[in-house]
Amino acid sequence: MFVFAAACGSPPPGNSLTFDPCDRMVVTAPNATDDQLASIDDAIAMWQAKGVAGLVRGEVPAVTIKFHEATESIYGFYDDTTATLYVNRRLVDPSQRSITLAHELGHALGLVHVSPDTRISVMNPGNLRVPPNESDAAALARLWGTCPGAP
Amino acid sequence: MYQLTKALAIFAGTAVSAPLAASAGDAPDPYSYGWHDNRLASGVGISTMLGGGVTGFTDKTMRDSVTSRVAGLWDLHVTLGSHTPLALDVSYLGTAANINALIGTQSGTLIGTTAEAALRYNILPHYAWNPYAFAGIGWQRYDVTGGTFKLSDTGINSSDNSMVFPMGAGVTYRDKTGIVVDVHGTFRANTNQGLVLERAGSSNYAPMHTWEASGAIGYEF
Repeated sequence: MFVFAAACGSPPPGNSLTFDPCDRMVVTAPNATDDQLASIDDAIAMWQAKGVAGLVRGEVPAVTIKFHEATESIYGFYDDTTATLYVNRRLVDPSQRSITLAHELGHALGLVHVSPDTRISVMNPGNLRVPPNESDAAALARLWGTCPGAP
Repeated sequence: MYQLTKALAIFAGTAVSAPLAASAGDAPDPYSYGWHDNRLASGVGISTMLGGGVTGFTDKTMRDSVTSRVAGLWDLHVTLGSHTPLALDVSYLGTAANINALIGTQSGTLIGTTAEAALRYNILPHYAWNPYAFAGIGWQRYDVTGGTFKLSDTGINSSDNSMVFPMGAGVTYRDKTGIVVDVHGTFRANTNQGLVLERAGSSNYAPMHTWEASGAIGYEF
């Protein structure tokens, strides 16, 4: 289901809970509002458009999404020891919330922060504007290999 | 020459217990503004103090970034001219505050370091109680520490260097043995801040001005 269960490549090093983008990866957000669920669906769609077809919202999750309150300058955090994704409840702009969710899902897929000086990416630290792009899809492919049936 | 020798001896720590008022000479008028005090080995008053207190940000965004409105601080400061109308204060301060993180298990700490110098006006330079006012310039650095916190996606940078302009007032009490007790308040105006974004998506950083209330104890000669 997760952790080192690579279907199409080698998992990233370390003991973190990360998920192969070629597998089915179910996320859930038990207490999310309709607006928050819409942002989650947006974030999932962003990754699906980049080839992460197994990422879906469902009831038996690999990753749980929780909305917590924190200072406004903190956006999100992926706890790779429990596969829990936290997003600041005070982040109310739908676009910023979707990008933050996409960023944290990127961590769940094994991606790490990359400086904007290196490349523009959804994984830029503090990113609230950049959705997953071709370079992020390439980074996933480098990390996990290419999914079967992918172009 | 005798006074110079004694001052050097005290500096070297070999005569710390020497009575402060042992020097010969008449005490100056306690309400005068003379530039020399015969009672002190240094002739002008040199004090070293170690203290602690509380500090906080004046800006709401910065206050909300930490878990408590006030943080602890410690400081070490040296005053050259504690018994002259004008003095030079040189200080080194350290502060620490917990960051208001997204989940309780995250342990982010905001560590502040400040080195500054200030010109101080002593209102009663030769009296036991000396109210004073000061203003100066300094350098301030904040570092965000905490392994898990650093993995968060935030609008908080990992560190920031800035220039500060401290200003404030205080009062010292000096007894005849050389013991000095000090309490003071400081407003520290911060320039070119760059640590915490004002709000999500903003390109402006929150002002980092701080206030401080602290006390210190030390020794002068």
